[in-house]
Amino acid sequence: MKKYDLIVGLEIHFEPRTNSKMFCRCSADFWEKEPNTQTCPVCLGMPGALPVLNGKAVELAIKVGLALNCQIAEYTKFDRKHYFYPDLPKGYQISQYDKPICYDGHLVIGPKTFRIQRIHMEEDVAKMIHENDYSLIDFNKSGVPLFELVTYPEFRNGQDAYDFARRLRHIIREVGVSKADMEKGQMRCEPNISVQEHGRYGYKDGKIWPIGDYKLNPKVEVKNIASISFIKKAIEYEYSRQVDILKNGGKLIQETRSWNNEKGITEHQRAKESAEDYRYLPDPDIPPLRISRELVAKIRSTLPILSDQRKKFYVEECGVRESTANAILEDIKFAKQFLKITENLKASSVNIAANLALGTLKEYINENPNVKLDTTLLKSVFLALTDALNTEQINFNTAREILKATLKNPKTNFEQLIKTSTQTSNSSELENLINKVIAENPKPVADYKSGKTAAIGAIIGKIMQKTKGKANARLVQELIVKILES
Amino acid sequence: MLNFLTITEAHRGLIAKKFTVFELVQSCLDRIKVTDSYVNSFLTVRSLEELMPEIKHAQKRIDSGDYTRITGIPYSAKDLFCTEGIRTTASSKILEDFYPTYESTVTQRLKEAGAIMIGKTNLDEFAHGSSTETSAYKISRTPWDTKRNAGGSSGGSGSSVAAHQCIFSVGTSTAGSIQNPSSMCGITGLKGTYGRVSRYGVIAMGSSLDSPGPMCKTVEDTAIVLEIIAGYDKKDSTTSTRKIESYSNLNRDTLRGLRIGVPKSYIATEMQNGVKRNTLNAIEKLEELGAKIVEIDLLKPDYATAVYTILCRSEVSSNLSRYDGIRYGNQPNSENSTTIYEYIKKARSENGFGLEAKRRIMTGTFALSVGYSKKYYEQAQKVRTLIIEDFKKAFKKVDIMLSPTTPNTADLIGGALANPLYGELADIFACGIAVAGLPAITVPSGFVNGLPTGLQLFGPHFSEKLCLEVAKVYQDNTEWHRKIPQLGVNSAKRGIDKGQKFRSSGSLPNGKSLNSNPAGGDK
Repeated sequence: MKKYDLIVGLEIHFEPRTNSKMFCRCSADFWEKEPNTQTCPVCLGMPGALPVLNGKAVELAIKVGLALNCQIAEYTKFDRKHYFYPDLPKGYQISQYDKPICYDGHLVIGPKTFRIQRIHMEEDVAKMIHENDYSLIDFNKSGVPLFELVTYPEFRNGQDAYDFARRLRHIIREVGVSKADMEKGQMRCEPNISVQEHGRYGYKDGKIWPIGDYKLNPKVEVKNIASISFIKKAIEYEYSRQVDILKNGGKLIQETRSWNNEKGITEHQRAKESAEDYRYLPDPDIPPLRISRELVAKIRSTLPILSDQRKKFYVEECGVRESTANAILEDIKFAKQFLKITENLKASSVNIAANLALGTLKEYINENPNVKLDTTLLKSVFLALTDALNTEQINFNTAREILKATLKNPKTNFEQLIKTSTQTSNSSELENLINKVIAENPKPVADYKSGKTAAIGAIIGKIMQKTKGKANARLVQELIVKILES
Repeated sequence: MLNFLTITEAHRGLIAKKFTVFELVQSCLDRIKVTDSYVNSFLTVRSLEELMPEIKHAQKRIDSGDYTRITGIPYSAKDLFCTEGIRTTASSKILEDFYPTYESTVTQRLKEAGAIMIGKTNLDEFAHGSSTETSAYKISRTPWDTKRNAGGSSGGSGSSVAAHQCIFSVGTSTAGSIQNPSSMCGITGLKGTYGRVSRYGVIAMGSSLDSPGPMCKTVEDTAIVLEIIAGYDKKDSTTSTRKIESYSNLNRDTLRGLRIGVPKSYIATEMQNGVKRNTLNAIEKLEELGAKIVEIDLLKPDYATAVYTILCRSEVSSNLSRYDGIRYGNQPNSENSTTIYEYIKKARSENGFGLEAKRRIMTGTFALSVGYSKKYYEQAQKVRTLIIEDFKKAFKKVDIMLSPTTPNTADLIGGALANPLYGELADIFACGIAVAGLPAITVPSGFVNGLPTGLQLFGPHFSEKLCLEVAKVYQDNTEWHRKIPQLGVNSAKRGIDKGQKFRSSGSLPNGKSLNSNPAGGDK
């Protein structure tokens, strides 16, 4: 048993996909724009300028809150968080303090549930560029909408934190709230990491508390994690660094550290000697919001079925293999297309459709990334193909060929093709053919008879060759077994 | 002498082609030239040359019949309204060279209606005060006695209207900053319900309290200006979407059937004898005009003053955070600073904020600090709710209430700086109204030793029309608003007795005295 436990909570910022900034009409798309060209008196913090809330951002916050099983506040307000820094033009950031829009959420990952404390809305600060002996400020980013999600200190290893962040990113992309590209800063993940002696602390109501005279070790916040895959590394590095210090009799301090991915280490940024006093003040410029349950219900009805629920449906009710379901759902765009194409299929047909889609359709999309899929057409194609496969009118191979042909040329008369490709299910005709093949191929026959049952594949292959793929494979196999074992 | 006209009179003259917009504007600019050294109303006066395009445009509108009642009317704006391309200082050194790139909604609406903004008026620095003595530039004086301050914070607006340097002005009230100088200068001023007039482009003092409004020569003019500047503004989320009434359509000629409340606790407050006498006279007059006077129990005004002080200071400390010398405003030499915090500190202290602004920042910062915000800020918010309830209860018994506008007449220069809570005392009758966000109007109610006093009428939320109606009936039956102050030497001794009725006598104030030195001096 290790002496020290790892305790991690996550603070994750992400930029919602709005056209304009949080409190003004400037464009929120600041990426690679000429510096200070997307500004106005409001986001420059000019005297007398007033913030006006972006309603779209509120809708997106509710949307992501619902997707993460949060409660949506009936009453929510904005507060001013004060501190001086050149990237903060008003001397305060408009954020949400004690009445966040979303609270008490959770995310289930496999057998584990991780609780989310809150999600709130705020505005981003400007971008600073430090040169040798001067600094530049670009206010294009100032006032860009930002959501901050805070988890409880629920994570006991780096893998869990990584899984959570990854899953979270998938969900916010899936519901269309954010592109969550970490390299563009659209998603930032900051773990709060501490190590505590095993058995000497308790965890209740989302709080770590000391048992007896035990004094809790301070937590370290790690910033500048530029990619989701670094989260685990950074946490694991911090664990060993902190444990090493304690083992060597050192003392930990509350600090902010920065992840240096090249060196694979964290570096001290600044100490947090005492809790900073942000002098929160309800923002008198923005009236508090009352969020009607009707609005919440309306937004809930626009939520897509999340991949977790869909996976459950595919695997448990449609009999899709888990790996197949994962492969389909991993790619949000493809998963959406698949959902559209299969929306009128019976549960029993979805499995076949999944195999067909993942093989042929995905291959086609990969080869032709710019082609716009005609999902309405594909919907009828998939319905016809899965019906034909269910009734054994055609075999899987034929279905693939017909799908390919339709993808290549949407004008293909796929119904006609299905009719003309009807497979041979005539037993006596097939029996004659099988007997002929057995006579011509003594080797696989001998192999089969000596116990190598896999050799039957070779015999089936020959039959398919002779029927140009039109034989009913299931029937052929049955007949071969019957003949060989009689 | 056109500058002595009211909006209504000037408008009539312009339409009847008795004079031109050019002549009207020029008479105001001339008046400023000869009188401003006495009253110190203006921080910026725009030149005739600069105004020419606006004058021509207004004249064209009048000639073509496409005008409003304020087209071509020259006005002044408190230097707290941001005006595009025109220096806006908030009377602070920290904004000495600040030229906004945007226009406040109030001045924008006036501009669209064709009014001509001829200058920006002095105020207490960032509106912190009730005397303009905290201004970094000058002290405005009441034209009734230039040894005395004009009140504040919209003091320059008050003196500019009272000294007939313009036809009307726009000011702002956080707690009495329109009423106080209007009373000290003997003019009519109105602050609307919080959210009735947009705050966009008004440099913020106490954001949950700030209410811009007109300062005019008559109630009639006040209604005309309010009708133009009031109403929903998509740039200010705290403005009300409620439709504005036609304020200028004031038809009431009697107060019969109207219940006017007199808060006992307000009348019991310590005040100058003359102020009390004038208030009681006004009450009698209102009764005479048909109103039923009802004594009302209201919370002592001291509670509202305490609540106001805490809320306002807290919001001030926050609102003034943006002045860091980085994007605009006072920029100290950065080479003398080793850290950014040192630089920000220098920008704010050295040649930045004045004493009163610093004092308010410090008190507000304290009131919002961890451990104290519960005791002060949060407690004040709770009491604020009680005050609102208290007024609501009272307005079930009466339609409107009254009080003196201020407990004293204009104070000698220097009086304000001696007392850090000067404004809170001077505006004791304005704090409750401010905290509850009620509309209030002040009209001249007489003189004490040659200095004007004011009668304040205030009603429930969005009762601007009623306030204007009652004030108009009172004003139609009194003469106080017609008196014109004499500027110049010994002006302190002049007052009601020697004041002249412009319309009856048609003569101008004593021009001879203009050559004498004014009392007091610039800071």
